[in-house]
Amino acid sequence: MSDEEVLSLLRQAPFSFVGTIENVYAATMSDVTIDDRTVVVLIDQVLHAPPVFARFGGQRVTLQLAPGYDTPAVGYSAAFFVQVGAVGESVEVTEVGRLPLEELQRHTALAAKVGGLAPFAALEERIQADSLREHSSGAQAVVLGRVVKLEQAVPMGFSEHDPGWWRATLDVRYAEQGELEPGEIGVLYASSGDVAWWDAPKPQAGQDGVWLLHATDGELAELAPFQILHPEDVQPVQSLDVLRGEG
Amino acid sequence: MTVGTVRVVNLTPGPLSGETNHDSEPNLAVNPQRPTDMVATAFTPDPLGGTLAPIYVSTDRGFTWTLRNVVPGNNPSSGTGDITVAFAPTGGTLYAGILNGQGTSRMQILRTTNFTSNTPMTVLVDRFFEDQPWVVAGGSAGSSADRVFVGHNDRRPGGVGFPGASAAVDVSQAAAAPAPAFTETGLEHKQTQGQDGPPVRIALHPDGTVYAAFQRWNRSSLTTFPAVSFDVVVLRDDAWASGASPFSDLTEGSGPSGIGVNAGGNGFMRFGDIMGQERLGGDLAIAVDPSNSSTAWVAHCDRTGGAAGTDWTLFLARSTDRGRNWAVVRDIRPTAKNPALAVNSDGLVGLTYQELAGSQWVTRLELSSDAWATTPTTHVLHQSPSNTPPAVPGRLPYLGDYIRLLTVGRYFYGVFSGNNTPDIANFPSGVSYQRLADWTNRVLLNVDGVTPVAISIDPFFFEWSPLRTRPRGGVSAPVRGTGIQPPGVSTPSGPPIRGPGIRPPQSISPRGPIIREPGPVRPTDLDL
Repeated sequence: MSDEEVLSLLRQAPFSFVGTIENVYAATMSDVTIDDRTVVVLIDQVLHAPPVFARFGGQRVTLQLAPGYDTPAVGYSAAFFVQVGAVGESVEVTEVGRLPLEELQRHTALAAKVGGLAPFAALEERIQADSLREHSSGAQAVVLGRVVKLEQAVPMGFSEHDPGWWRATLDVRYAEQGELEPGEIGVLYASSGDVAWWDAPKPQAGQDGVWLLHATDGELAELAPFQILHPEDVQPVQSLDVLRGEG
Repeated sequence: MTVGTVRVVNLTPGPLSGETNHDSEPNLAVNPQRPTDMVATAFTPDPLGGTLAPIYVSTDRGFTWTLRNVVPGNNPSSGTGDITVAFAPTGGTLYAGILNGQGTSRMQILRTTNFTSNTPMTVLVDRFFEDQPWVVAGGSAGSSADRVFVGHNDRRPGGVGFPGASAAVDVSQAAAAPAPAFTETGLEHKQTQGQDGPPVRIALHPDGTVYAAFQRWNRSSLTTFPAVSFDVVVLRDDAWASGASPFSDLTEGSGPSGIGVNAGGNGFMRFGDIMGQERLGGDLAIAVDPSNSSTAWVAHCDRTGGAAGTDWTLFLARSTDRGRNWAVVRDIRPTAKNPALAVNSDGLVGLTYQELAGSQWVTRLELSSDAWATTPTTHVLHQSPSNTPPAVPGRLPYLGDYIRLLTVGRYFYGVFSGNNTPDIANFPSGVSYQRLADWTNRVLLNVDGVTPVAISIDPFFFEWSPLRTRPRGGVSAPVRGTGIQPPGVSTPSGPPIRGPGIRPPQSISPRGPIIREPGPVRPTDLDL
């Protein structure tokens, strides 16, 4: 399986692990559908996972097999790439792909060479970089700059979900994308800590960074030409290399 | 004295023992036809960061809960935005009102006919510039039509009525239809400060009586936002809000501006003020007696000290004349929030709230059969330091802008969010955890049963069960769960069975869960 094929699996599957089939036509949960494509897997090693599943080594889960793969025999081991269906007394996962152990070895050996990283660390880094580049491609401007002024743009609105628009003035030193000249530019951001906005960027005085600027429209355009609302709209200066595809 | 037992359950499933999210602002639906079936919600993200936000599902009367990602618009940090849920009176269809986690104030009304499936809920209504959709469902006895009411705060310019009139309700008289029509009705008939308050609450009675309550933010030269002068306005409709002029059966004056009754005096707030790491302002609940639609209850909060005050006093008022007159029967001082109300089939009234008592958040269930003329039966469901865990910097709400209390027959069911420290002292009524915890050392543990996990805010389910009298006399033991018995269920007398000591439950221990083969596993229904 090529790196591109593994990348495709990683993009579809937020969770992968080396697992051994322990039971066929069985489940670890009482409230899932069981058929001859339902198996119980012992997770031998987590390969990649969000933090909350990072310590799942040694756990048993219910695996719904993907179409196109044979139902494995008890004792069969492989790297399974899965999506999570239900999380209750145990976890139900749905297979999106599978990697034979001998093919996993190549990734494990490669990772070991670069300091014992997780087997797919390099590929996951590529996915993150691709994601950032895709997000930046939707920005009207990508600039290197520093926050030189912060001010309230409009009075706080009535709703608890009001964004609480503030304006940051950036001293733009360089435009990586978009036609902006060096100088000061206004950028709106949501100062509200409401759950709808709390992970939106909150520029700090003097903050340096790479800013992914999105055009405002309507009434907001009268307050500033750009806004930053997505958590990835502010990046460390070093991310310029990633955005250029050099990272 | 009202005799019954309380059961409290932490909703976080065992496999998510490593999570540290602040799962605030919970809600709950209980299937009235089959009260073993429940759905709860909170600001819980998909643990894998997908595109759908989760609901908590229980099919065993709340003993165990499973997370299923079926709500459109997952936000990686909070899951969905505001969310409330309700089951249809018959048939098991689940309705939800949400603010989509991927859209700013994007209200969606959702439906699923199979709440235990992983199929995404169907979007019935999709609108922007809305707030706090609050779903209730009801119907006439014997009718299979789902009458679904969604109270909400319509902040669209010119969305409903005149500018600033934002309290509204969307109603479908047949929400089970393939493409149901929802009709929006504005509830506000007077000028406001710019909008009404976020909460719009609905109470339904099977005879067709519908009560609606909202905060009218009065236009006043004396207050500048976030200072707000407000009334608690109650409206009523006597025929499912199906006529030409819905919600106009309760008046205290002539003409349109006379529609509705102020059930709360002249209130004052500083909207969004912080107490105990939590914001205040949108506190409102309404309930109707299921055996007498003339008797209704309203709870709200008010800064009685006015502009110079520091309190947030909770008031409970009752009307016995279909909402025309209201009398306060209970107040909780100086600071409480999140009132939730329900009345059971015996006329027993339940009031749940979260009180900032000194340096603690205390969640209580009060029950009264005599309108608080005598001391109510009080159950402390949860208590913990108000400064622990620290609020996520810059993130609100801390516990949530609302909780919920429901009844089915004689039983009360509710949810609240709170500090999840595994400390017996925090749960005077007992508790059951699904997630791993070392109760001796008061530490949460990851799925490996070893690694400590930081405390956070979790949603908790609770049930109040009446003691039942056996047919041949005597008092039975409290009703216990049937069917699937989860690990660590607390006894009515208190301490969790899970602790003490580091003991992962069987379901996720390294030895693994019991392997199940096909076959029905269903708890039996309750005797209501």
